[in-house]
Amino acid sequence: MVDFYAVLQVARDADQATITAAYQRLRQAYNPDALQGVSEELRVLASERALALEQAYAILGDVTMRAAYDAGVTSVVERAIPVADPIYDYRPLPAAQQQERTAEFNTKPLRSGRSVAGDRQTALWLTVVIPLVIVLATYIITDGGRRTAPSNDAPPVAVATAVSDQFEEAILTARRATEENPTSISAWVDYANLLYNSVQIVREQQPGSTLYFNRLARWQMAADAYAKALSFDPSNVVVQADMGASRCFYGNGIGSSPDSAAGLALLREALPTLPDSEKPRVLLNLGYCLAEITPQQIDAAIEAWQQIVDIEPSDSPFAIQATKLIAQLSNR
Amino acid sequence: MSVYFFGTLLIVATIAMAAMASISYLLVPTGRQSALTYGRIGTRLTMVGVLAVVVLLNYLFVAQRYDVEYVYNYSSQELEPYFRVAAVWAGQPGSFVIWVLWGVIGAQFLIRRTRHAEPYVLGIVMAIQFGLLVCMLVRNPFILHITPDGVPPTDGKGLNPTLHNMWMLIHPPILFIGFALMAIPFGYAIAGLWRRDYDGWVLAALPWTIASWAVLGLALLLGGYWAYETLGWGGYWGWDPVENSALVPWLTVAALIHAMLVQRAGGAMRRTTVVLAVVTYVLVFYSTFLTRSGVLSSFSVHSFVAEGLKWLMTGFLASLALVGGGFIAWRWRDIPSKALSEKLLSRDSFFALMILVVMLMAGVVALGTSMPVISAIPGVGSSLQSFFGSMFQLDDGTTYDMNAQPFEDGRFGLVGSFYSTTVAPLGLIMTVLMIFGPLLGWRDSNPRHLLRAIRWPGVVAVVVTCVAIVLGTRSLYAVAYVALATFAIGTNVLMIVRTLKGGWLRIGGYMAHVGLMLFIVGAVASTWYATPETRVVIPEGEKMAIYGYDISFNGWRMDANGRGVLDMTVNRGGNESPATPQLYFNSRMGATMATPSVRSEIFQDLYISPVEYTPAFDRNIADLEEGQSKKVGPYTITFNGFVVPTDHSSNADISARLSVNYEGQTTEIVPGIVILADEPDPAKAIKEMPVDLPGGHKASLAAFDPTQKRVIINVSGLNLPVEPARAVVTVTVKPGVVLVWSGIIIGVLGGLLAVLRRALEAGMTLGTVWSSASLWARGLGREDALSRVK
Repeated sequence: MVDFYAVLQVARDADQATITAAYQRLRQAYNPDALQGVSEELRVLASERALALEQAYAILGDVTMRAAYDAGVTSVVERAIPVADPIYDYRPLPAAQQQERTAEFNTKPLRSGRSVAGDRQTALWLTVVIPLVIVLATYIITDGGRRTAPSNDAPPVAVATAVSDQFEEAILTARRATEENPTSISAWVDYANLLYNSVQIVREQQPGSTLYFNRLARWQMAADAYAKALSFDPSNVVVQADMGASRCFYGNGIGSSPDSAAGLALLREALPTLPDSEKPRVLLNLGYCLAEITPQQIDAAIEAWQQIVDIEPSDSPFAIQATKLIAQLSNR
Repeated sequence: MSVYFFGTLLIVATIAMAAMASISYLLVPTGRQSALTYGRIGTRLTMVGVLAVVVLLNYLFVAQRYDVEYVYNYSSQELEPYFRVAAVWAGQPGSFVIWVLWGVIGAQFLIRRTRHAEPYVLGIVMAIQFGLLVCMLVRNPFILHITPDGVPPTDGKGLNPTLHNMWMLIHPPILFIGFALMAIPFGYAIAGLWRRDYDGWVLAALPWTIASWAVLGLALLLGGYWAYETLGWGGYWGWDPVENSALVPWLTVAALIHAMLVQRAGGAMRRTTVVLAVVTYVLVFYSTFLTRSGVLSSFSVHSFVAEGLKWLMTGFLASLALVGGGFIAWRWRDIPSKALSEKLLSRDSFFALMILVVMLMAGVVALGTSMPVISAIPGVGSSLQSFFGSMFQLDDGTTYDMNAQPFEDGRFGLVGSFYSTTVAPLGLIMTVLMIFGPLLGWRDSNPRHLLRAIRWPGVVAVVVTCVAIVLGTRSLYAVAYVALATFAIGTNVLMIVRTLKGGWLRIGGYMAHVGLMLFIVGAVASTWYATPETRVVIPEGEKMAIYGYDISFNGWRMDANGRGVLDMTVNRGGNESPATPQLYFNSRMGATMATPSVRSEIFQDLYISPVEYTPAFDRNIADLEEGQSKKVGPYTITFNGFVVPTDHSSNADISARLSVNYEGQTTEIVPGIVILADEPDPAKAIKEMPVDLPGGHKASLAAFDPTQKRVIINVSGLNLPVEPARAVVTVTVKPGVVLVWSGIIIGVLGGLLAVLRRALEAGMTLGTVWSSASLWARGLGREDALSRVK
C-alpha cells in the first residue's frame, strides 16, 4: 500500500488541519490545467501526481479511514480510495526480456488526456449495420422462418419433412422436358429421379400403405425412364444402379420374382465400378432389395449394409441408417 | 412472426453482440481506446440477449408449446411446473443456453473491475461466449416440430424419467457455473501473456480459479450423489467417461491453484501457471467434445448420440488450443524465470511435486477416457488393444449395451480396473505430500520443528490404522490409505488451529485438504470395507436377516408418481424404516428402470438395489389366451373363445367356452358372469356363475379381457398352494459413505472461504457486506508467519 503520508509530505502524527493544508498547497502545485505549454510527458506525470494527492487526502482527510489505514486494514482503505476516472493505458507493457521487474516498475500505467467515448460516426455506423446484418442472417438461416426441423436421424434418401405429393408438379414438368428433348440423357434421368423420389418417400414414410400400392407402378415407370437414359449412355453405372433398384422394388412390391431378380442383377453388376460417393446409397438400396425379395436374403442384406458401416465414417447419416437397419433386421 | 424466426433472431442478435464485444475489446490493446465503449456495451447487450433467449425458452416450456421440437422432445402435459423450467437444460441446446448464461453473467463482473486487463480478459471471455452461442445456434432450440399431417402435437414426449428428479434441478446448472467460471482464469492467463503482466494476472485470477474448483467439486458431488441414490449404478463413482471428463479439469485446476500460490509467494512457476491455465480450459472443452460429439456413444452409460456438432466443436477446440499455445509460444522467452527453493523440505518443492502428481493423475484419467478416440486412429487400435488388454479389462463397446455389436476395428474403451490400478498409487503419493506440505515454510523449514509438529497427528494415525487392521485388513492399499489420510487430516487440522489465530479467512486451503482426506477415508471404507453384494430373495410378507438387518417385503405397489416400487421394511435393533427401491418398465426408454433404496446411518449405508420381482403364482387359477391349454390340479383346461352374446346358449352376459380334460375324458363347459345393471355397488354388480367340473370341483370365470382374448379361470375346492410374490434384491452395507459426502462438502466450503480471502486480497469490491468480515479477519495480507513451522 502507498505511503499516503509521504505523498502529502506530512509527518505520521500530523493533525487534521496540517494534512488539509498540505493537500491544498500541493494540489495547486500539480494542477495540470496550470501547466499549459509544457511537454506531454510532464503533463502526464502531473496528472498522475494530482490523482495520487486526491487519493491520499481521501483517506487521511477522513478520520475513520485514517484510523483504518494506520491499523493496516488494507481492504477497507482500498475501497475508499477514489478512482478519479483514471484513463488506463491498456497497451501491453514493455518487454521483460527475462529480467525480473524492479519494485518501481509500474504495471498500471495511466494515459494523459480525456477518456475517449466512441465517436459518433462509428456508433451510427454500428447501430445501422449490425441490426441489418442480424435480421438478414436470421432470414437466411431460417429461410424466412419456414424451415422446419432437420431431423437428426433422418434417413439419407428421404426428405423426412416433405409431404408425399411434393414431386407431382415437378414430374409433369420433367415429363414434358423428355417429350421436347427425347434424346437428352439428363432430361430422362431427371424424370426418372423424380418418379423414383415420389415413390421412395412414400416407401420411407408409409410402407405398406394404400398410397404406396397405388404408386408401385412408378417404380416400373422410373425403371423404364432409366433404361431410356441408359440406352444413350450404356456406361453410366449410377443410372444402371438406380434402374436396378427401381426394378427390384417393383418386383418386390407386386410379387414378381423375375423383376426382382433382374433388378438385383443390375445392382450387383453396377456396384464394383460405382464412384465412392454413390456407393453407400446404392448399398442401402441393395440391402432393401435383398431384405424384401422372395425368398428373403437377410444375411446378404445385412452384409450389404455392413459394407456401408465399414466404408463410411460412423457418424454419417448412411452409416447411422445402416446400423439401425442391421439392428432391426437381426432382431427379427 | 413464428417462434422459430423470433427465437433465431434473438440468438443471432446475441451472437452479433458477443462478436462486437469481443472484437472491440481486442482492438483496445492496439491503442484504439475508443473501442472500449463498444466492448462494454456489447458485453451488457449479450447478457440482455441471453436472458431474452432463456426467458423465451422458459415461456415455451411453461406455455406448453409442443409445436417447438425441443419442448416436444423434453416435456409433456403431466410434467410438474418446476420441471418444465428444468427441462430447459434437459437437452443439448438447452445446456449450451445455461452455460452461456452463466458465462455472460460472470462477464458482467469483469467489466471495469479487471482494470488494465479488462480488454484482454473480456475479449477472450466474450470470444468463448461467441463460440458457445454458435453451437447453440447450430442446435437451435427454437426449431419447430412438424408432423406429417401438419397439425401441431398437443402433447410432448415427456422428460426422460432418469432426469425426472430433484438432482436434475440443481446438478446441471451448478456444473455449468463451474465450466463458465473456468473461462475466466483462461482469459486472465492470455491477458497476462499478451500484456506482459506476468504476475498481476495471477493475483486477480486466483479467486476465480478457486471458485471454479469449488463449484465444479460441488457439481461432481451432486452428480455422484445422484448416481448413488437414484440411478443405481451401484456407487457414487463409476469411472464413466462423463464423470471422468469433469474430473480431469477439476484435477488440473487444483494443480493450477497450487502453481498460482507458488508464483504469488515467490515469483517462481510463471510459465507453469500459464501452461496449466491454458491446458485446463482446453480440457474443459475437450471433455465437452468427448461427451457431446458422439465419439464415446458406445462407451458410456450416458447414451450420447451424434448431435451434429462434431466438426464445429473440433474447430472450437483446435482454435482454443492454438490461441492458448500461440500466446505461450509468443511470450515464452520474455517471461522472467525465478528458481524454486532448492530445499526439499519447503513448500516450493512439495507444491511442485503435488502439481506433478496431480497432473499425472489427470493425464492417466484423460488417457483412459480418450482411449476410444485414440484407438479409432487406423492402425493404432489393435496394437494398443493388445498392450492394454494384457493388463486391464477392456470394453469393446458392449459393457453398457449388451445388445451392441462389439467393435472389430480395434476400437476399445477402458473400464474401472484401469483407473483403480493407475490412480490408486498416485493418490497415495498425493496423500503423503498433503501430510507434510502444509507444515512447511515456502523456502525452507527446520526438520526438528517439523518432527515436533507431526507428533500428535502421527499418534492419531497409528491408532486409527490399528483400528482399521482390527476391523479386517482388506488390502494393503486400504490400510495405507487409511493410515496416511488420517495422518494428513491430523496435520491439516493442526494447521487450521495454528492459522485461526491469524484470521479465520486463511484456513480455506487446509479445510479443502481435510475434506479431500475425509473423502478418501470414506471412499476406502465404502469400497474395500463394504460387504459383498448379496442376492436375497424375499417372499411377500416374509422377513430375511442379513448383515444385522431384518428386511421384510410387503409387496409390489405403485407409488404416488405411478412408478412401481418394492415395498420393504428394514429393521435394525428396533429402528424401523421403510425402503422402497423402484422397479418398473419404462416404455419411453424401452428398459426396466431400477432405482436403489439407501438407508443412511451415521457409520454405514444399507444399499438395496432391486433385481427382479416375481408376481404371486396361484395354482388354482389358469390364465388363458384363446386356444391355449393349462393344467390346474387334475384338470387340463383349454379356452376356445368367448360366447357371442347373440347366441342364447347361456343366460350369462359374458361367458367363455372351455374344454376340460379330466382323467382322459373331455367335457365342454361354459362358465360365465352376469352383470347386474341395477346394482349400485360396482363390487357386487358382477356375479359369477360357476360351473361344476367332473371331479366335483367348481370352475368360474374370474376375469376376462375381450380385446386380448384372455380369460382367468378359477377352480375352487382344490385348495392348491399359492406361491407368494417374491422380490429379488442385492444388499450391500457400505460403511463410511457419509464421509464421502461430508468430505467433499468440507472441501468445497474450504474452497469458498479461500475464494473470499483471495478476492479481498485482489482488492475486489464485493460490497459492503464483506467489509465487516475483513475487519474481523485482521490478519489479512500480513506475512504468512503463523502458518509456518520455522
